[in-house]
Amino acid sequence: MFSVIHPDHRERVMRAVQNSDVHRPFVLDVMRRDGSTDWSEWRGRSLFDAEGKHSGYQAVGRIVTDLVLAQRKLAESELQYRSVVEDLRELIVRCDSLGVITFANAAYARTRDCSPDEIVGRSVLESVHPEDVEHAYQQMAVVTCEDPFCSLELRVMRASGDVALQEWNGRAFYDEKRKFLGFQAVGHDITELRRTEARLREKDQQSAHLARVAMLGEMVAGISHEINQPLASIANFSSAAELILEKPDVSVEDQVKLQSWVHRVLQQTERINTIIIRLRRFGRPSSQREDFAIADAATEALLVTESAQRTAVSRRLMSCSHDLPLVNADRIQIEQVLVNLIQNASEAMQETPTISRQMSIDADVVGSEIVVAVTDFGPGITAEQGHDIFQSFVTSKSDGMGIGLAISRSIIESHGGKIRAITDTGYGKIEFSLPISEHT
Amino acid sequence: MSGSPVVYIVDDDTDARDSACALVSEMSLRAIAFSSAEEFLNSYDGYRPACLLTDHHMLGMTGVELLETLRANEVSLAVVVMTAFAETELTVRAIRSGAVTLLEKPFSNTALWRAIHQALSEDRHQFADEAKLLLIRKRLDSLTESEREVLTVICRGEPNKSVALKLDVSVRTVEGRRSSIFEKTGVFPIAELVQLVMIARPELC
Repeated sequence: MFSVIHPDHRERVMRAVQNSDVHRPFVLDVMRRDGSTDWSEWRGRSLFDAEGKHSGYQAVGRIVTDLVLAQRKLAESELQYRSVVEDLRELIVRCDSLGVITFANAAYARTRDCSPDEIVGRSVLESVHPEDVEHAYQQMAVVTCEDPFCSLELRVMRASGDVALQEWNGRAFYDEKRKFLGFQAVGHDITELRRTEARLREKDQQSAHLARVAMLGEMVAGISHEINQPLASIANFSSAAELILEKPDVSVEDQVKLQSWVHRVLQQTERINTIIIRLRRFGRPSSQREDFAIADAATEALLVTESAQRTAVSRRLMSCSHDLPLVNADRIQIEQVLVNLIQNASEAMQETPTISRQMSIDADVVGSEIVVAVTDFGPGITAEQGHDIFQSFVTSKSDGMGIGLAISRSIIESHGGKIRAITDTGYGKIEFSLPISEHT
Repeated sequence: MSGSPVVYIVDDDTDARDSACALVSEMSLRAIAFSSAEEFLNSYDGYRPACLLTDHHMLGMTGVELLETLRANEVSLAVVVMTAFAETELTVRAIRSGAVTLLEKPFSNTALWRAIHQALSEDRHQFADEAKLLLIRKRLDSLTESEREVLTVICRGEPNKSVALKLDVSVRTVEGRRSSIFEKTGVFPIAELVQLVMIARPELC
């Protein structure tokens, strides 16, 4: 009978049989004829004759191979998952309906400066920044049986006293009677990520500002023209007035002239003032994101580039309705993109006959975005150029840096939009998109 | 040469144009304003004495292009170019095409006065030269065919003897025609005559 028992186990089986009783089954492996192993579970007892002498064994067995293998697998996978959970850098925590921690991995325990065992029994909200506790409650309160997921960003007080930023994705648990049991949540530290993002944003803003200042530098000829023109008018009117005032007596006719000239001199100073305010605003380092109408930004961009277009563009068309939804963006930066596109359009038409030098700015809603297009009647952009022009230091101009479109692209993309050249059409067209503000 | 001098003003900026007009008028000169180079070219009738005061940066034809157009059409009107931003290239082009001067906006009234004065005086000289030229041309045209033949050979610097030989006439005949040329043109000596012929009727040389 022992021949079916695995040779390694015969000894153990003997002992087990001797110690066994009905209530304590033992499991042993049985060798099959083909050499593989089956597992069997046995419940047995010793048999005694009338004198109480041991006369043999009686046992009932069954094959439990599947069960044994399943248990083994379970144990293995449990070990695996446990080590995954323990080794994860993600923070994992489970709590009951009152927020009392029932399980936490090592990573989470470390953020609370204790071991996973010590953390059990404490509150999940204990370490949350006082100002964020209310927010955490609110987020956790909105879960339902149907939609048990929630996510939130929290400031957390570290044991060291630093404030860390954590992002959490939680899931609520319910029993079959839909009774809320508790939460399980996975979180990670995003302090460094946010810090890097902020630094990048700052760098982006700085480079956009530098490009803007460079742009103003390239516009110097046009700007000084714009300012010298009214200055010349002021000088001429004043000189003419001086000549009148040198006369021994001033006639009524002269007085009318003087009055009109003084009035026009004041108008010219206003004209210069407006130009300077506009340029100062455009040269400012940065601004906040705000809701604004793209039509207003386009108008402003046209005014900033007025001097560049003066001799370069004979007809300007703008079809940006004020009824379009607003966009939420850094307004100065969007104006910068428009200024850049308008200037490129003006310069593209240098070889175009004066009468056909037409430029248009159109804006329209496409899906959840506003698409703005600047079109000129220059020679247009070839598919090959269209691919390159958004790269830095690629330019077709003799005096350009080749950063305008590259900066425009990074500005538009940082606002969640896209910019592209419409190519091989025989006229120039660049369009960009911006998401519509959520507030409209 | 008659009438008071006119200052033509071309500027597409209304205020700049009006203010220049006001100042020129107060200088007791007649100012006539145009808002574009094209408008000026359409109505310019060649009136003298005059000068042109034009802005450079204008939509359509620029100031320097206007100047070049005038010169291409052999109009010698004195031109002053005004600009609110003087680039070297512009200055070179303007002066090369014979602009009297380049006025940078804003300018003082004395600078404008000097520029206009210089322009009008250049215009006057130019006009006098042109009048002289016209007169000599008229006189040359009054020469007979045979006198003109003699003149052509004289202009090449040949003596009477070889002129006679070339034209197959007597030396006496050449001398006769020669004195008649001096009489008709009113120019003497021979060197000055040759110089004037070269300017007025180069085809005779």
